[in-house]
Amino acid sequence: MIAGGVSLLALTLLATMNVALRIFQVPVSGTYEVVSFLGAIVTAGALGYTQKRKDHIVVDILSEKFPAPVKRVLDRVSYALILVFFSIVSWQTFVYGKRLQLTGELSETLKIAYYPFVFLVSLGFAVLALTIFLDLIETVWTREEKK
Amino acid sequence: MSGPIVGVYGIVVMFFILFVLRVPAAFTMALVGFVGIAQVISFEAAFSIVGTEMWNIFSSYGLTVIPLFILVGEIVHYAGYNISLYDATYKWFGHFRGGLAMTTIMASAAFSAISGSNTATAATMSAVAIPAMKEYKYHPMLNAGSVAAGATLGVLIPPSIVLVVYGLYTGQSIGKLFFGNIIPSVILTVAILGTVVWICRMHPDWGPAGPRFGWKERMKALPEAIDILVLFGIIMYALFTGVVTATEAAAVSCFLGYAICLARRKLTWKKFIDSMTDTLRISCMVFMIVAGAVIFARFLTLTRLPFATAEWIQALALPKWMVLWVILLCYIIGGCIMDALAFLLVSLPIFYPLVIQLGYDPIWFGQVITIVTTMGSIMPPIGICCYVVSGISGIPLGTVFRGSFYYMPSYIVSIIILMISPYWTVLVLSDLVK
Repeated sequence: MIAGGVSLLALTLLATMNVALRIFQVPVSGTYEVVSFLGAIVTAGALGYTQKRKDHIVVDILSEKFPAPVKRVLDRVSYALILVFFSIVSWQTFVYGKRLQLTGELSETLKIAYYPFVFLVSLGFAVLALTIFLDLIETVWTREEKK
Repeated sequence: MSGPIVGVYGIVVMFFILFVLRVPAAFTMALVGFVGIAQVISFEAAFSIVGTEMWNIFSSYGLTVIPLFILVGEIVHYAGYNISLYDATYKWFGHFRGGLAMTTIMASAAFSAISGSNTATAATMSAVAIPAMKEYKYHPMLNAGSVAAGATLGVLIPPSIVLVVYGLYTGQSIGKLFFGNIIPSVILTVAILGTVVWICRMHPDWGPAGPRFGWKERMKALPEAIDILVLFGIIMYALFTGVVTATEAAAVSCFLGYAICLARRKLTWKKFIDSMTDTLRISCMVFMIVAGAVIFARFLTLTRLPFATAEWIQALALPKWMVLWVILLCYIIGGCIMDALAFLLVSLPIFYPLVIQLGYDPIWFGQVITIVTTMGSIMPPIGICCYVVSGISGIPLGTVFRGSFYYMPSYIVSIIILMISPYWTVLVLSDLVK
């Protein structure tokens, strides 16, 4: 979250600087790449937080009419589903980053190794999966309490 | 099992998960797309596509424009510009019958010129305009309806997130899309204003006139509105000349936005942090929708469903305009049941090639579907703007929906005007952009 915020600021400053420098005819190469990488951190950093705030748009025209117990079961199923899915996403992004690291892939203009950024995105998804896991536990927990 | 039919199953499964399991739309698309790819090719392929695709989307240079444009809107929102904009328009137009409703719509339009999302506009305007209209005994239907309808302008008037995503997806220039958007925005704004006038004529007691202000007070209210105008002007000019990319234009406007707010002492540390966290949340949400839609679209393309649909529609040998209306009808229905942006992205691989083949201009089509999808945001059952308005103001959801229903014809009329003359409504300005 904080990493996301800092990246967002850095992004703003960097792109602004680039424009300012271009007006004075001093080209800076590679900002294009850095901006993209920072952009990735901005979003990945907020993944867990957004899930926690339940900001993603849910369609509940049909499900709001279900009785509460059915709803709870369905909620658990859906949490389990997306938990598995985002664990896979996190893992696969990590695999992709690992591959970039092993093959020594460098970015086009700046020639820097950019796999750490891929790892950070993977970490973002891991945090998301963890948040979903906590939500899942919570739905199970509330049921136990009601008994 | 393979071929287009898998795509159809995929869509059915997606709607099932969406409606019954209450999984967010973004996640559903990604999930179904992932399983679908595994079905069509193999699990290994699906794994590697998901990994690389997520990284590609997250690190896409073009998409970095989204958090930045959202940030500009948030800065302006937290700095309290919405209130000054409202105040300024009210002093100019408040004394007409239904003047507050008109004020709301014009202030929404002005605010939209700096904000790219309709929910942000709906939230801001609900907080400012609804109490004001309540005070002057406006009918709740006119009150809430005008806020919701005004908020839809947030998506339409540049900078518009929908147009950005459309542009990136179809490879069209964002500058051109924004410029082509100016006249359609004006048309829709005027149409919505016309609706207010019409409602007030039908029900004179719904919107009593406010007091008249002297010229001195009117002038005094202007300077802060001019800030916004300048900011908007800078973004548009930068995109027009083509010296900067859309991302850079957005970054510069964020920077200037902060600078103006600091200069006017409108920014506190807390507001700064709030604007940041809100931006991160909203952009994360948008990014996940884009990512989900891209993965889902990959799956649809693999099943060849888009091509099959396009061929099927062509085989019907309908006149061009009729095909277009069928497509628009799909968007209206889609906009009713799903988040507009998500539906747009899922359907573009199916409809975009078809529309281009029919010989329609891509920039023009972008404007038309933006109007259509934004209309979905005030339509039941999941018109997101109405939910926001009702949530913030406490006016019952049903009243908000009924109130916004009055504005439906203005969207249809705007689309018809756009269809009558694509050149004079869109291309005349967008062609000027290099």
